[in-house]
Amino acid sequence: MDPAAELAQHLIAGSGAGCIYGLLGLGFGLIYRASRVINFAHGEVMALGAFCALAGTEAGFGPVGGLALALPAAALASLAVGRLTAKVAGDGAPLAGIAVTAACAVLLRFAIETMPGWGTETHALESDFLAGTLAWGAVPIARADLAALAVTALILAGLALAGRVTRLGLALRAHIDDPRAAALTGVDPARMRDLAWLLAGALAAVAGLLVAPLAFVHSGMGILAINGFAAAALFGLARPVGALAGGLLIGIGETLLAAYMPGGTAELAVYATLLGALALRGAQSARRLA
Amino acid sequence: MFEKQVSLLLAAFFATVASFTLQAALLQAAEPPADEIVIGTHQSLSGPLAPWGRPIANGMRMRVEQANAAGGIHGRALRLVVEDSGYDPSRAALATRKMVEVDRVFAILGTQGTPTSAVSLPIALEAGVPFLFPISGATMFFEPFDRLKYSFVVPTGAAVGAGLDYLLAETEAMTVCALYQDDAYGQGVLDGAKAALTSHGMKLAAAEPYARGETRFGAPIAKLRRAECELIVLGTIIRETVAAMAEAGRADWSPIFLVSPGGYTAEVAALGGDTVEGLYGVGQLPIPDPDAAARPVAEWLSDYEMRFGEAGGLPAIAGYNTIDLFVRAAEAAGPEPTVDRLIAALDAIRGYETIFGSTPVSFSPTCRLGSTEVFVARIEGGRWRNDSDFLPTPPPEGCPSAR
Repeated sequence: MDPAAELAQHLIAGSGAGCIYGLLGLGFGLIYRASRVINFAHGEVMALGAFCALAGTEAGFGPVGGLALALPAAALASLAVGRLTAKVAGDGAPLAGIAVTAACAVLLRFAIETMPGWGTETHALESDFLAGTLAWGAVPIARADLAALAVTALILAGLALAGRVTRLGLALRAHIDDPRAAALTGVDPARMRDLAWLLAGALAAVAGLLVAPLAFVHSGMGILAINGFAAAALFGLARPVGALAGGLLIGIGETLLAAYMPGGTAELAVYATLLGALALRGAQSARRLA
Repeated sequence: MFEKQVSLLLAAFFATVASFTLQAALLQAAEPPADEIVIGTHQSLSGPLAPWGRPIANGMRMRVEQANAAGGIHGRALRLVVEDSGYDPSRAALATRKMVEVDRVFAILGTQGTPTSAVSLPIALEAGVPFLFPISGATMFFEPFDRLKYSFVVPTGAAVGAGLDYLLAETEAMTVCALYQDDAYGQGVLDGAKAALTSHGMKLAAAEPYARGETRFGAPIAKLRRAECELIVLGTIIRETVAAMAEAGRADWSPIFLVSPGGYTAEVAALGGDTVEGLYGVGQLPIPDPDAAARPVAEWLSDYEMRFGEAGGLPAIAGYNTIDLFVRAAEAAGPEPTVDRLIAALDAIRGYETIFGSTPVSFSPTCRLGSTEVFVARIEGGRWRNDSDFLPTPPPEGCPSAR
């Protein structure tokens, strides 16, 4: 294969993966900014979304029908995790919140595994729309990667627009920027937290559907969310664009390292980057406090 | 406030521990009744390997029920204790202690998985309980020699080596590479491939590791392609086998793929569809084709489905075979079975074959690995079909050569 075509193939595959990490990272960021919790159940919410998409697809409604089932299911599951976390841990106890979300992750996974027809088996999401390969000159491109790029771009544009022109979007942004100031202007913080968890769940469902054609659907797929968290943490959990940039950086970097460096380098690099980013941030915020 | 909650939690915790301890103390480790032979196993009835653990347990149950329906073993009923390991070594260890100390099992059979069986082995040996036919391709279950341990699973590396030998002769491939999971399983596959190539004066042209749980194989497949591999040995399990072949197919590249016994499963054929057409695999027990099975196998499959409400496959047959072999040895051990008599009977087993076409099993007073043969199968038309005759692997010390 031509080296340039091969490089192009890796770049596109890496971007596809990066978009999925970015979508997951977006959810991590939203939840963290709105309720100060790192949601350890985010990967399981994604898995639930993927299984619902699978169920919808298998029932003959195609990936769009699958998404119609997956979006509300994952959003509601995410909301349930958020409400439970707020109820049990209350505000201002981030460690307790994290423990609750971790427990929710175990419960969600258990629910998926005990569901008849789901279980611990690996399932293939059969979709001609998502599963095929296109050839762009000499470069083979997985349709799933193209879909990931297109869908992520649409979602980002949609979110940006909604955050600027809709009342709800403006309110959420205000809450994320400064909950107390927003509350003084009449923005209900509890409602905004709910909205963030719902949105994050829906984004996770989309990520689950996009990852399924290449990586299958199984109860352990939530582990992928680690890369999503890394994507979000890289630029400080702050901005949607930051999460996407982090995702792309990790997705492309990991693919290129895997393709051109000795095996095993890529995984190391992801975690080294994550640790580095966290350490840097810790140092920065310590300086700010001092 | 917080401290009060913590002390309450602690109190509840200690109360629970105390009640468990009391319960355990009250459990009478009763001598099993004289009209029974109690045997035990642990399987992952829950957890990631439950899709294999449950049918193994069911296959075992089926053979136990048949033996009892036929009047038991010299009039004694066979009772099978099945514990759930959840594929967790610590639970497997607990289950083994329970079977040894509370159920007083006569033997432990067919435990599933390498890490889970590895923790059970020393417990059984220490208690003087025979540890028979674990479903694992590790060498510790027959080496070093111990009179209480028996296995009939060819180690992964040796199986891969024999499969590779066969394909080198069949396909005349010269450039051999490997894609393997970076754990003990993948390492075993890699070592087996290297050893087989060394005996031909060849070397692996490229070997690409991947982390367990990896979902994308574009990069390693591209590297293997750059190395111009003609034959790729896969130390993969289910998803990775399919994903790696899908990635090659996406780049319109079709080298020969040979998967180790871990990937010789009906799941690979079902999940992969057209993607895995032509894949070679190494096995010891043919995956049954329900549409083309010989009469006794077809009848067995239909009996199994009637009894358990799901189609039987390789795991169910593997479980069934462990009990079948035990029943044969226990019958030969006579009406008053003891561990010594069971061992004498097992050591006398020669050329044991099943209706399922598995590789023949023979033990001896010096040999604890009952089978040293494998075969190569290939996916054709969405089904695994045997491609080779039985192929010999190098026998361990004390065991005869298969040829």
